[in-house]
Amino acid sequence: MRDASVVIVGASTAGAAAAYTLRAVGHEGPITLVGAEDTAPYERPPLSKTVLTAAEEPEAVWLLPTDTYASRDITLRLGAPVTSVELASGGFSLTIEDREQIAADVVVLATGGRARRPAGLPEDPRIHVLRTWADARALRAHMRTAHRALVLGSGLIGAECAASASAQGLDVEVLEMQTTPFPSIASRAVRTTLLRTFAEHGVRFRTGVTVNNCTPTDDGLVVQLSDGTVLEVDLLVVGIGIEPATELAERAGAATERGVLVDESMRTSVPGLYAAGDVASRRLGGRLIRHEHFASAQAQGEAAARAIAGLEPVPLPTPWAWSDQFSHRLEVPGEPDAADYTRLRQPGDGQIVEFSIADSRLVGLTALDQPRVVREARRLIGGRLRGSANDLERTDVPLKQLVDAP
Amino acid sequence: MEERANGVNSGGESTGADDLVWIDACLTDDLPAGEMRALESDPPVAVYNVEGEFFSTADTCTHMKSSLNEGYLDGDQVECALHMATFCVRSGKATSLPATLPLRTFDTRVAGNQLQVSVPRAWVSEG
Ligand SMILES: Cc1cc2nc3c(=O)[nH]c(=O)nc-3n(C[C@H](O)[C@H](O)[C@H](O)COP(=O)(O)OP(=O)(O)OC[C@H]3O[C@@H](n4cnc5c(N)ncnc54)[C@H](O)[C@@H]3O)c2cc1C
Ligand code: FES
Repeated sequence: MRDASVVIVGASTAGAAAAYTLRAVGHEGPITLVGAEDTAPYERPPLSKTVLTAAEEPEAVWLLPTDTYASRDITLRLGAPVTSVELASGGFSLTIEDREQIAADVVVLATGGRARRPAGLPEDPRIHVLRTWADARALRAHMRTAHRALVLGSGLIGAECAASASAQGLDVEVLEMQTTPFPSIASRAVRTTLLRTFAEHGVRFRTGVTVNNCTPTDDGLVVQLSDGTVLEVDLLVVGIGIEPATELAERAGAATERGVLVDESMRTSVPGLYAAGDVASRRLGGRLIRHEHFASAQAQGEAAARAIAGLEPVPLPTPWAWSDQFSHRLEVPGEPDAADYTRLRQPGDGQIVEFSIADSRLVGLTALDQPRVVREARRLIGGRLRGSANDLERTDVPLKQLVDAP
Repeated sequence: MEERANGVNSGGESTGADDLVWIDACLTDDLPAGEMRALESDPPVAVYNVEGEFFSTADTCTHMKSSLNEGYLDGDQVECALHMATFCVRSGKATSLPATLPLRTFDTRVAGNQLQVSVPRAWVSEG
């Protein structure tokens, strides 16, 4: 399959990693990376961080140096939404915007997800979602003139937007539908510390509420909450998650379950059709998992490339997510949600590592401002505890002596 | 000879070509196997001890400029703390995404109990 023609749909984290890796492992056939956006593949993580806060007009951070495509003979097609992927004799036929057909032996779907919007919100330029470079540019510009911001959702992107807006001097309030802020963070200690930092910066939280309706006026947005409260703001950011873009896979007949179902090698149920990144879901020991993190998207793109090149599959790396909020760095390696119980280590003010344990094995951690411990611990995830779990709370013993390598 | 913070001393003696200069990095005893540290040159340079062998590269990650010495050394691979790119400290090669560009590498030598590194003169001269 070294000379198979490969078309990758979605020119972002997973797609660019797949294209780059295919060439790196010696794939000789044509590689085409097709993306709906007009911009060359860029990194999304800065969009809610430096792109919003930088004093100077920011530039996109390219996923690959932009001369990589030409130098590695990767055809980059931008502004080219793929409208269908169909089985054709021995391969696939893709349609770009209902006008152009391209043929491929192998297709990788790296279509990611779209920002979700609650039903009933009006179309108004003061109501933002944040997924693309274009979204970030619009939000950045608006933050420079607005005073009062409301952020809907305190997931990682909502929290980062709130922190960035606050750092820009806006008055910020965050609405969280769940009863606790930052519900996606497994560690209560981390949530508490983050909440304290947000409060110190004057960011307010309202929990257990949603938006009932939002009325644009000349002066701003009048937002009515489910508890009857009425707020007037200049700017609303909606950060309530994404919908995986599974429609091409469904039409091509691939099995989907809250994402396009893949195996360890990113193969879908249709031979020759792969999926990777935020769009891909996997069954793992009875659980359905779909990651929405940079490192996972990258690793899955690489895994798809290796499989296409016919290489032995290597296990996917331990998942790892990070988030930057004010001066905090949150890191979540592994799967803390799978824990039976946890152990907390607090080496210094605001520094936290919460170890998640299941079946006497370390399954994940939630860490605040502890980069070294995270690097060490990440290599031990999946390993069995040697002694008492309480030893994990000690800072004077290297982790390697407390947990066996997996 | 100019004293600089954190033990970066101009070792005098230039290699001539490319205007490199040997500087003292640290005492070899202060860099045990498996450890790394950064020298306060500008831009900073990192030195590594890989099982008794010394190596040196630029300390600035080619991805988004984090300091590699805040990361993690695993064998001859240094892992950046910011987004987990890895580099081979022997060759400077980027060995995993998100980095693709290599790190510049520098020669090292041991003089007595001193580890020395050959770096561009402009990186260690004032101003
Ligand atoms: C604001 C923001 C901040 C983030 N911060 C972090 C962070 O700090 N840490 C972290 O770990 N993760 C972070 N993430 C998540 C991370 O960026 C994503 O997990 C990652 O980008 C997913 O990559 P992907 O390639 O699977 O999908 P995406 O990045 O969503 O890319 C999919 C691409 O496919 C294109 N596409 C979709 N359908 C079609 C079609 N039919 N035809 C052509 N093209 C199509 C889309 O236009 C898009 O460009 C952040 C995400 C956002 C939005
Ligand atoms: S700055 Fe080093 S990996 Fe991003």
